[in-house]
Amino acid sequence: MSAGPWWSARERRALAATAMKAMWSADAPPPWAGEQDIGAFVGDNVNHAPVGAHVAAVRMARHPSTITAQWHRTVADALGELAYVELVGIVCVVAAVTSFRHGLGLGMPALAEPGDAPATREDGPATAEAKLNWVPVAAPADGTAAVVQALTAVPDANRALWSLADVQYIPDEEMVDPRWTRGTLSRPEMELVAVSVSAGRECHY
Amino acid sequence: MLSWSGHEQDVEVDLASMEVGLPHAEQLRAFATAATSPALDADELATTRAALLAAVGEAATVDAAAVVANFEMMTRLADCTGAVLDNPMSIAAGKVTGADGFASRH
Repeated sequence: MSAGPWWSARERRALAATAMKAMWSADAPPPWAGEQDIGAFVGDNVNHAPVGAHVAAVRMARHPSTITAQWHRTVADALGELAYVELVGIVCVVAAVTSFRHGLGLGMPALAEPGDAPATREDGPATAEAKLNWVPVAAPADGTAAVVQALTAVPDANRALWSLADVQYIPDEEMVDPRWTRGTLSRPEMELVAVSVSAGRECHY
Repeated sequence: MLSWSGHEQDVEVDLASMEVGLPHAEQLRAFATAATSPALDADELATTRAALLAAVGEAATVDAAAVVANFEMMTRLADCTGAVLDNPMSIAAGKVTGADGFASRH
């Protein structure tokens, strides 16, 4: 597992492990769990990333529909605004990969060893405040849909997410075609699955 | 997207009741519901997966699992970044389906 711009390779692995456990464990902490509540659940990984980031990863992975603008503000102020965005990217990739395996009864994947690479601190694009998201996005803001611009302030996270979406759902360039199919499910069948998941997760968007 | 793609392919869609005029709608919806986190009932998931497999075959079942996975990802992306709906049709759909009542709306 490689480093990102705001989290080291070791931190990224630890936070991915926490997110994976939070998504699928029967004993995941509740949404209101704080730093004092999280240690036993996270285990040894708690030493490899800030405990506040583990708390955030649990909330994002297990209880995302309970997240509020105020909670985002508090966490982003503590972790750093772009570190928050990168963490969302980590949780999203964990959700996509582990959910696919879970759905097919394949069990959870082993995470790669992280190495010692520090956060790269590479400069990203110029960012701007968005009206369509809480998080900053690559400037200019609000020229595309909210989910499309959501991770653009951290380009590697954005690329990882959309490359998964291309293969798990619909390639970006085909999104506007209501008849597109991979040769298996029809577009309405895909959308029925999509809306079933979104309703089950109580996602307003 | 469901309403739009259904309309384009002459598939009846009632967003309020989630009744959809597709041959395997029941199996698809049951599998998606059982596979959605944090559902931990492995037996229910295995049962609905077997029913979907029998109805649509292996490749389509794998693709259904992939679509579930994508929306496990996208719902977290939207919720964690405070994504706001920005077109009138989506806003109208939120009212019809009851999604306006979800906590993530606020």
